[in-house]
Amino acid sequence: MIVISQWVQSLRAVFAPADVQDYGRIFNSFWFVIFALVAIPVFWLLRKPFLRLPFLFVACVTFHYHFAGPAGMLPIIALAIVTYTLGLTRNKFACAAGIVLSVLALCFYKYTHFLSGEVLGLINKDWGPAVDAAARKQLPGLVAPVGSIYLFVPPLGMSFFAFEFIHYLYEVRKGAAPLRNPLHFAIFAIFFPSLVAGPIKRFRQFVGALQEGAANVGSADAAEGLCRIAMGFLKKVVIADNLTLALDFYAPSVEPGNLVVRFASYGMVERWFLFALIAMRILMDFSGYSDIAIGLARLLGIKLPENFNWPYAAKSIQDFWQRWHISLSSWIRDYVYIPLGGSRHGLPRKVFNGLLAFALCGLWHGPAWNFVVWGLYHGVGLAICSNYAALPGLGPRLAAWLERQPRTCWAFTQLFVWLGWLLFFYPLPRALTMASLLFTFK
Amino acid sequence: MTAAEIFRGIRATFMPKTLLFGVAAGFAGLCLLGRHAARLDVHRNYSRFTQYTSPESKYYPTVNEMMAIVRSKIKPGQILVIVGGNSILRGVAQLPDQMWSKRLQEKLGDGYCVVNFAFDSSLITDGASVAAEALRDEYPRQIYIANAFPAQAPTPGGSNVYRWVYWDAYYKGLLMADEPRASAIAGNIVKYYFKDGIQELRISSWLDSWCYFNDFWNDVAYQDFNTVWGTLMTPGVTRFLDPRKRYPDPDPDGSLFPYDVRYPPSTLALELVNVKGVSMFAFNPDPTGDFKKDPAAYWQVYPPVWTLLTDGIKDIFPAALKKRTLILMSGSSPYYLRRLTEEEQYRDKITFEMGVRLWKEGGYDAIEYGRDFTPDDFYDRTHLTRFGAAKLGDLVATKVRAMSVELGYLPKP
Repeated sequence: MIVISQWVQSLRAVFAPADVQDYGRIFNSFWFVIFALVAIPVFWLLRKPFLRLPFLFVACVTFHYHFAGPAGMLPIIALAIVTYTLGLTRNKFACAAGIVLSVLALCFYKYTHFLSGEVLGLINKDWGPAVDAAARKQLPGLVAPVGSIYLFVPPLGMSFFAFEFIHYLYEVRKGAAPLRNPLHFAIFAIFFPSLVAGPIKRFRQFVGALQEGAANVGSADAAEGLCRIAMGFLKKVVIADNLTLALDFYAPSVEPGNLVVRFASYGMVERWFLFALIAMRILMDFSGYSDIAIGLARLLGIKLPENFNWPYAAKSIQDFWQRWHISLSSWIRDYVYIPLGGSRHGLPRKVFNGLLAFALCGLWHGPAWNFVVWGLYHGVGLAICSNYAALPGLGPRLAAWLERQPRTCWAFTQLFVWLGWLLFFYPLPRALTMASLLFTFK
Repeated sequence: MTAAEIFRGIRATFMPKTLLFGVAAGFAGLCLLGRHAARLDVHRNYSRFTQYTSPESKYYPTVNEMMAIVRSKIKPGQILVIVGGNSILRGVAQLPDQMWSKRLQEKLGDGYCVVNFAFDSSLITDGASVAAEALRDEYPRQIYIANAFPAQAPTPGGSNVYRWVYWDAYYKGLLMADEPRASAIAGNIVKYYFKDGIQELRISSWLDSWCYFNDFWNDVAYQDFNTVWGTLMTPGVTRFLDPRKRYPDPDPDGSLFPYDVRYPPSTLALELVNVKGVSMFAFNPDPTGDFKKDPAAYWQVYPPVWTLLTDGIKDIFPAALKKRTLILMSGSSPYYLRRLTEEEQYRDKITFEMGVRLWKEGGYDAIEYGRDFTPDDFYDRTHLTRFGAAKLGDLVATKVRAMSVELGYLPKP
């Protein structure tokens, strides 16, 4: 009797929704290990695509339910059904309406608190809290305590869902054939390896890879997938997580009075060492997670797009954005920058489009001003980098000289990018102080 | 077909399978190493867990690790005395040679083996109790000692920080099947723990019962190289890589510290509130904050607090293990007690007496200590200096000997 009760307890623990909402730790959770150890071998054993695909869908739903819970799942299901249905109509207006709905959903779930507090609150101090309170009242299941305040916890992977649905409807609106098979669309929507941290998928490429994987997954896929996962865990768990702990101590993002006491107390060598560690931390953390996602998909025979390609080897800002979070930067290019007009309407418009695209890119990373500033910083950098050669007089000569100095280009590019990480991780005044301390020899 | 093409063909055919086989074999090998590590005592000359071998620095000793320590220390025929409880019994502010548990060992002599598994802030039901229970068949002549404060309700299955040891032993099948305790833990999970990582803990413990990864990594971290950064392992960004065995026991000799460090005047008011707090929640306060007395001038017991204690006592251990458990009621330093009013001192005294009585009524043994100690015996409000450690060791030795006779471990004199 006791043994049965212990088993019942264990099963309840396994099938209950996750009790920790730390999205950065999903792939290193023990629940996920059990899930993967069951789901992936069963997928292999089923052999036939008509069995594998429904099973993969069930596995994705289980994963999504466990980590997102019913409150996090329902909005995604609703949005997915609307997107699928509107796509089937192939009606341009309907697709545009679906795009607007995805944007609104993203804004509502991820940015309500930010927009109400930081934008509406500036206009009228009563409006912000009123909007925030009204939104909270509507969605109590997605409100969680963070310290002493209650914040929205957006549905798991909301940013990825929204971007993928927008991409889908945009392409259908432009004339691409929609996905008729609801199973294909459902797996595209909630494919568990890419659900947490991307890469952001493109539906035509994904469905092709899905069918190929379901039919032909083999030991070579498994071997490559395992190597990639091992690499990802090495980067994420061994390097990035330790760096996060160390940096929280040596260069904390919060110190009393918004001061930079600890960082300022180090010598110049230590400061630059920590500066490099900050850059390494985000690369290892993010690319490690991407490696795990890509490796997991590969275990199912599915090739996901690459997200990183040695970004710290980039020799220009353009080069960096072709190597860093590739699926996001290409998405921003295709669905924000180019639709805004890209570089087709003269230099001022091109610069403006770039700044707007990068501001949105920054905001995508989180609802806070420092992300916006980080995005604009890169927007300005990219604008200078891609246009300085056209400056009369000095421009062509400087461009010719830099072309002969790849190491200098690399050093300046990386310095620019790494200084940007200070803006990404720290509030603006602290980031500026830390940046100045890197060059203060006192 | 050229030789190179044939080679490429063979490589393409066999390499993925070879790699997969290698991964599986490597993983199985690591699991076997983990099982092997679970039987080794890596803590040579063990005296206690320090900050470097405890969760404070992200080191989580396993139940197997504790069992291995016991097996390497105990000699045939010895009665096993396992010490649990919190920092007071861990011996904070005592050098390893001054520890109260060392004094206890000296006083008890060769017939006993005293092992101190206390952790800072741990409860009666934490790691040491689990290790003792896991060793119940191997060393049936055993006494488990832990400390508590009066009216401090115990938590079945361990406290939030240390409950990993319980689940570690549970999934390895080392604990006694006990329905009341299982129900109490299940109730607590529903009431308090469900949103606090219990699910992950249980899954990891279940996986560990197959793979022994915790024993493997503890062995590596203690003997070879540490893998998790921690604030205690500074200065130096890379110092954390040092194996744990290199870190010395950091507890100082607290008796050398001057009084104004041990009893800072700035915290006097706060500490007095803490001392009063031991008894103030045990009795019914009236709206003014004073304590209600009945017509015969006795304080009225505040039932919710004591009911929680008596209910908790019932189910924390299987019935067979209760009578070999000694609960020490840790008293406050007389430095503070003497500053209470006579009435407050009396209330403190009867609170301790009531705590001892209820534990005894619950089937355990219990004694109070500290009331006849001096301020020199205390390092601060609760922790002991080497002088207090010696007194506690003497007191407990007498009690342990008496328990050994009562439990039938030794013949009646």
